[in-house]
Amino acid sequence: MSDKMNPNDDELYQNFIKHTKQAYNTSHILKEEDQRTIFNVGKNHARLTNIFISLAVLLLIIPVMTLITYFYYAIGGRADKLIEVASNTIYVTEPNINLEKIKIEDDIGLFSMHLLFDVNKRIGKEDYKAGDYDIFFALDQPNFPKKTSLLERPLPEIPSVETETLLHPEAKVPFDMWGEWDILKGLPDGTVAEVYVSFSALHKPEEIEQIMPKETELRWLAVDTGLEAKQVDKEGVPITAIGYPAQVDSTIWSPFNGREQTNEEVFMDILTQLSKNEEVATKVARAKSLELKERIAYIKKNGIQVYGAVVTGPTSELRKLEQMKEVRAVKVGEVKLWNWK
Amino acid sequence: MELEIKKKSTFSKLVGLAGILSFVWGLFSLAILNAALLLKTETFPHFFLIKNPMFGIIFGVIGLFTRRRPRLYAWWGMGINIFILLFTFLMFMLAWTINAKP
Repeated sequence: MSDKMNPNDDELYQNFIKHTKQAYNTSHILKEEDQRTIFNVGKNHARLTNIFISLAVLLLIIPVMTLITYFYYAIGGRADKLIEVASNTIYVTEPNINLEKIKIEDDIGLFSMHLLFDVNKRIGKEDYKAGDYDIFFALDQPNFPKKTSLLERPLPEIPSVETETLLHPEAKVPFDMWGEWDILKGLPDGTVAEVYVSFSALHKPEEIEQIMPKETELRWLAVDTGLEAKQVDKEGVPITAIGYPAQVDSTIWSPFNGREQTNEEVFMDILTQLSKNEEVATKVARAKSLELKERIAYIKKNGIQVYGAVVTGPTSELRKLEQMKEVRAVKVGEVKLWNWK
Repeated sequence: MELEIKKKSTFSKLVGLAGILSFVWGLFSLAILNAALLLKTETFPHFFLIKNPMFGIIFGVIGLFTRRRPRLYAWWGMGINIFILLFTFLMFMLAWTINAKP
């Protein structure tokens, strides 16, 4: 094969290019107006695409974050655990307060959850709404609950040694004992009342039921945990009573339903559960120190011994407590019209 | 080799439009979903969360058959509408598992 080109090839090639250019310039070139149209269409298309995609990304933010939050609370039953810790804290730290776990509402927002529920108090034979709670959790970190109390004589929100109502036999009585008896005497017979009873000595739970006047109902037992004599923890922070409901609550949602365990066993289980979630329990409880590990160890060593109780019944029956040597002091709680049927 | 602007057929135009429609449909449903979440409505608007995204997916699938237009809008439209359906399903499932009541 020869590398040499035919002398006419170059000429042919040049002619071909020339003709092509001419043909292109005459027949294929776009007018300036058309070019501008194509450019504008492209520009508008790009602009529209940018707007649509930006809008989509912005609108996806809230649903995606909501979904992540729901996954966070659902996986491993985190929300249920928080609900259980909050409700159990109330059972063991609020005397004669119960709640309907089935009516606890959860309101899940972005990376947060509100728990909303009512609490009740048994006065006489009826349950009365005592107030409501709104506990805000930022993920699993609780804020102090917002509480609304409907009680006439609520327990103090910030407990102190001077405001304690259930008192250990070795603790000083901070209120006027005779004044409280006078309140009971001054109430009409046609009423029912709730009293916080402090005993002169420690008793076994089963003994308390026997020493109470017959026409009364024992509602809640305050358990000696080793800190009640001083009423403060080792750092001097006031503590409040911890205890458990004295009666079996047959409702399915109550942990104290008496089906598999006695109330004492449930109480110990709850304390163990709360000790593992003490930060949440401390926020929900009125006392800002629970010292649960120390108190559990004390109960395990000494058994459940009761130093106080909440009793409800006809006022006339409650007056009989004054004659009982086992009773050291009472503090009158709520009073309602007769409902003792 | 030729350079010219080809005229699009009506079918091609419609198919291309289906992709855009799917995207817009999805954005609209997404906006309603945002409003429902922000206003914390008790009941989610069923039409916008179930039926609307289904239409959006159908339009998206049609939009994918285009040859001369980019399929970007159709893909986005399908993605958003599938997300809304998935979101609705997952929310129901998760809401059932949290604080379940008999």
